[in-house]
Amino acid sequence: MDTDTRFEPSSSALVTSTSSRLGQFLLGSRDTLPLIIGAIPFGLLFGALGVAAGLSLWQTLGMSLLVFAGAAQFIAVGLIGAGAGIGVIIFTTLIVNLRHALYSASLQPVVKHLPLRWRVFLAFGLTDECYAVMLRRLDRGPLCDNGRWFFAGTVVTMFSSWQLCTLIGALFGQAMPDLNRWGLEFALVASFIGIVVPMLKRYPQWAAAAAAGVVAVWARTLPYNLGLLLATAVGITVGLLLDKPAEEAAA
Amino acid sequence: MNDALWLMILGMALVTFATRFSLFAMPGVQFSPRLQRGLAYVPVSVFAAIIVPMAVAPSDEVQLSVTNAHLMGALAAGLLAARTGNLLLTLIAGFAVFGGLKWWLGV
Repeated sequence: MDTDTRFEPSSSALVTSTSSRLGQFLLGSRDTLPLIIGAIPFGLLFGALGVAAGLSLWQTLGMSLLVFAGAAQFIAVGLIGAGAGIGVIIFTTLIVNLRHALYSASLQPVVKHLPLRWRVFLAFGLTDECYAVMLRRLDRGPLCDNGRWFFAGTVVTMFSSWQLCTLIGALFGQAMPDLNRWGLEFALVASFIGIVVPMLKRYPQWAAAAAAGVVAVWARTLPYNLGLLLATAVGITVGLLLDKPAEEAAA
Repeated sequence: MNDALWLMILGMALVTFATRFSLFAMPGVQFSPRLQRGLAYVPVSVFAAIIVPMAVAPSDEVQLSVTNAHLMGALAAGLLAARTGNLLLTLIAGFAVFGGLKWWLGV
């Protein structure tokens, strides 16, 4: 223990300032709470469906603990039910989660100065929800020196609630066999709308979203979620094409 | 079968982590400005690509109708999100319309 530092101002700042480690952690945690409301039904549903598909309680929990990727977990459970092989399920997980490489690239400037253990930890928790929270946060301005703790607060909060919901869903799911009929997938639609619409600030962004949406509907029956990747590629292309004239005008 | 399922879970965990860690693992790698600009369009494109089919074709068939509770709920949520930017209000408005319409239609 380094007792020489105990009376330094930073010690008291830990309790009082929002720029302290704890303050940042709690802010990240707070900003994640609205996203959890959208994720709760999915955690419950995944737990219930996992057990129903033939996973043990520990395997259902284990998937949430180790994979921690809602969409991929649902698809895996569906594929297990359909009798797909392990290789197909792992490959599908890769395809479905390729978007996370793009999140990784997008947030790299925020984490590139951090030690390896921090980058490993934050990468493990880079879910759709945590990415959305980080985007909203960065939209308000750059992170402070303890910004990594904001990111950590987001990850830990999302991770804990996902585990808890999986456990509850797995324990009680079999007693509620009609969970699917509640239209719980609408929670995902509503929470993603709440995330994406405030990001649509300029005309090229609206155009990118519209193009991606139309292509996704048109290509929704393609296997392995290829429709999602195709739609994303078209959205990016449309955005870049419309973005370019503005850049040339400015130059 | 039990071991196979654990193997599957570990495989899924590895590929998921690989995609998320990919660029965090290479802090020195720089992107071209064009790629950076393209990346700015990734989130809106991905989220739109997830949302729109779920709202427009909730049961795999395109349903552009006021009786499509998913679509009407999504429009209500979109309106609130555009007006207020508040996630909680967006969720409440979306669920009110979605749930109300489902109840009214008796489905």
